[in-house]
Amino acid sequence: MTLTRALAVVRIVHGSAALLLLLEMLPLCKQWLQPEVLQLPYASWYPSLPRDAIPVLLTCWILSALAFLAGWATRWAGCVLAVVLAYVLFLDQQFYSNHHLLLVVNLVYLVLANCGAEWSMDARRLNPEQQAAAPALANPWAARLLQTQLTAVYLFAGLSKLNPTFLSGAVLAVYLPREGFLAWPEAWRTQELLQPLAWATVLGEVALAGGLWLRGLRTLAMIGGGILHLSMFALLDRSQLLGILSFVLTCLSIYVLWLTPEADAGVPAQSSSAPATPSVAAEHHCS
Amino acid sequence: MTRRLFFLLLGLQFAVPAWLLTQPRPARFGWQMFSDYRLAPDFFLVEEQGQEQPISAARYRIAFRNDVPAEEALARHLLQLFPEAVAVRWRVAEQPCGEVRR
Repeated sequence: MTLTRALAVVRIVHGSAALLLLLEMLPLCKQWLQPEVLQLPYASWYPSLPRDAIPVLLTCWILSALAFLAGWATRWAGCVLAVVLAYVLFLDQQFYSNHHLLLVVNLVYLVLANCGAEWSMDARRLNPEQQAAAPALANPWAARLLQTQLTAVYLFAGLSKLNPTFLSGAVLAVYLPREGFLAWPEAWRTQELLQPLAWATVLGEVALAGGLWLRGLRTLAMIGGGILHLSMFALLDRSQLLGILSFVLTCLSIYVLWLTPEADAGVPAQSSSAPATPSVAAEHHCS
Repeated sequence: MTRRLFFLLLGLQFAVPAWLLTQPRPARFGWQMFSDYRLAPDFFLVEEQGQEQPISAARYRIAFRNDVPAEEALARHLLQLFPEAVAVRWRVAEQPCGEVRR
């Protein structure tokens, strides 16, 4: 798979994840607007959200997510979407979530990577000659930042669990489901079982951070990552379903970048893997 | 320029979460998902005579999060909403954790 196509996949998934995030945030925003509910801004100078501006914000969110997903004016759509999501993320401390933050950060990298170069409405407007030159338009260094970002997520998710509470198995005991199809039996909630499981979780996450970069271990790491993410659906309650889905999609879509020829190249310093036709580049940079 | 931007962003990706490992867990912006847990505290309005009235905090906040220390802010908010209360206390598993007085 070429890098531009891989980026297109990541772009489409991130656009969809932004719409899922909207579905997750809508009830929270509605609750936040109730006069009796606490508002907890990060800073007093941060511009608050007037009630009248909410429809405008939501319209911007939906339209920019759809445009980004479809690859229409991709860079502008990505910029608007990233700004809207970042604004909402920092509107109130209670809105914080790791998948929301990851989505904002990844959107910036996707815009920098020129993720609308292929499989997009922008690309369809190009003539065949320009379309043929499209694979050269991706910015490998920005695509690499998407990969390193995911590595940081896995690495620090693992390292932060190196604490006595998590390693004792107590955190798993709290989060493992007690009801439903995937309920963890009470007889298995012993320290003898949960402690090794906690260590395995830490080692798995740290190994995942490195394994994706090693060609020999990549397939195994991808399978392990898939299992890790799918297990989140089993561990967490239904109220967090949209958030988990958004996080899982955001993370797993990045795996596609390890299936490109650029995955095993060194540090990509240049904006493009090959010189692009100036007119094509100009059109894409304007999109 | 591109190379500098790349290494700047790469540095931020790892430096910020690395620094946050030195802070109490779970810290926001550090990818510390499920690294620790806290039980949601129970809130009580304290009347002038010293009597405590339990209050459902869920109605007055968006959601309880491990990584958002909002207890004191919520207590101050409850004091504004309930002028008859002289203080708001919160406890976790029956253990006193904090109090904000009017």
